[in-house]
Amino acid sequence: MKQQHVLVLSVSALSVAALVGWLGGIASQPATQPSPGAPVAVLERVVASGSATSAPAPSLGPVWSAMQALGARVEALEEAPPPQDPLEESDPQPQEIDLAQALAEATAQHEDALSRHGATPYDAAWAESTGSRLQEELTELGAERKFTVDKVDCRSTSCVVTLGWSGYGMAMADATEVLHRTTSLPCANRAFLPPPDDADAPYETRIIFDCAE
Amino acid sequence: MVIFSMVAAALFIAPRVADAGRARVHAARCIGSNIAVGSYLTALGSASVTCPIPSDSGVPHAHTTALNLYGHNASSFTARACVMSWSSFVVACGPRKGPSGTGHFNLSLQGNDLTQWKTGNQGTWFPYVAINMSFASRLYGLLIST
Repeated sequence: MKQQHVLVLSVSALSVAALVGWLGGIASQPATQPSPGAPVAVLERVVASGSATSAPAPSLGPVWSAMQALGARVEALEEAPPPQDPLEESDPQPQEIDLAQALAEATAQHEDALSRHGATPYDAAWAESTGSRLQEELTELGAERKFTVDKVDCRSTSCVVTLGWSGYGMAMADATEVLHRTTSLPCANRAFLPPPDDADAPYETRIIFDCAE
Repeated sequence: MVIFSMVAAALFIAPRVADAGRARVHAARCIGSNIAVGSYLTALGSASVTCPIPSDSGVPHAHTTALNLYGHNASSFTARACVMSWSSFVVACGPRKGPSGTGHFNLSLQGNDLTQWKTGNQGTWFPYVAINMSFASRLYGLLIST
């Protein structure tokens, strides 16, 4: 559909351009002595080559040719299968889901985000103020949800908090609560919860709060 | 010819404008604790609510231009646009935003508020809205515009 719009607009633009160009040519040339590139000459060449199915009015010669060429392109595009939405191309199909690959990609993204946080300049005033508010709120939430706040590391526009749970199941259930309910820092946040070898073992993960986004 | 061009352009541009999508979600689709759901959703105390966001080829969440939440009593009402990976290893939420004023409100999340629905391959993940509400605040529904 989008190609058709582009083509129709192209046809329209070309038509106008051809008309304007032809009128400009007439204005700059003597009316009784057309140059080899003038519309009438172009029309004569088109008719002589047999590419025109019927003789158009002389004044429409260049436009007629352009319309014929573009019409052929429209027909070809209509017969071609519609292009896929780039979003759909990246959509995983159920039978194509590769958990190992998904985990590898998520790990890389998380490590990249942690690296960006580590490279952020340190602003003592912001870090201490934000860090203490975050520590207080998460400690209170942790008492309710049964997790521990092991570390809060704030810099100038982001914080990384390390939280600990008694097991992976608890972490999966509670991490989203941390993301949803944290109000002291109204920034974007992100949790990454890779599955451990032992789901019953104590589980620790880091949540990123990014105020630069 | 100029008139033809203008008419042709108008005819083919018009459907593009009409391509903008809309989807609505009644508050009864939302889940959470400490809430009551009837004709609308009411917080019975401090409540954390999650609402699903429809996402399909007609209204893909990655193309969302605005998410509007309609409710009553803006006090302590905040919302975030979140997304969960299909492997569920990652959950990411945008910045928290709240309405202002009294009475009925229309909270609009747009631009940077919706970044997590569009970043990288997160347009293929599962979108939802996380809402925090205080006692007696209400949620009527959501409007998604692409």
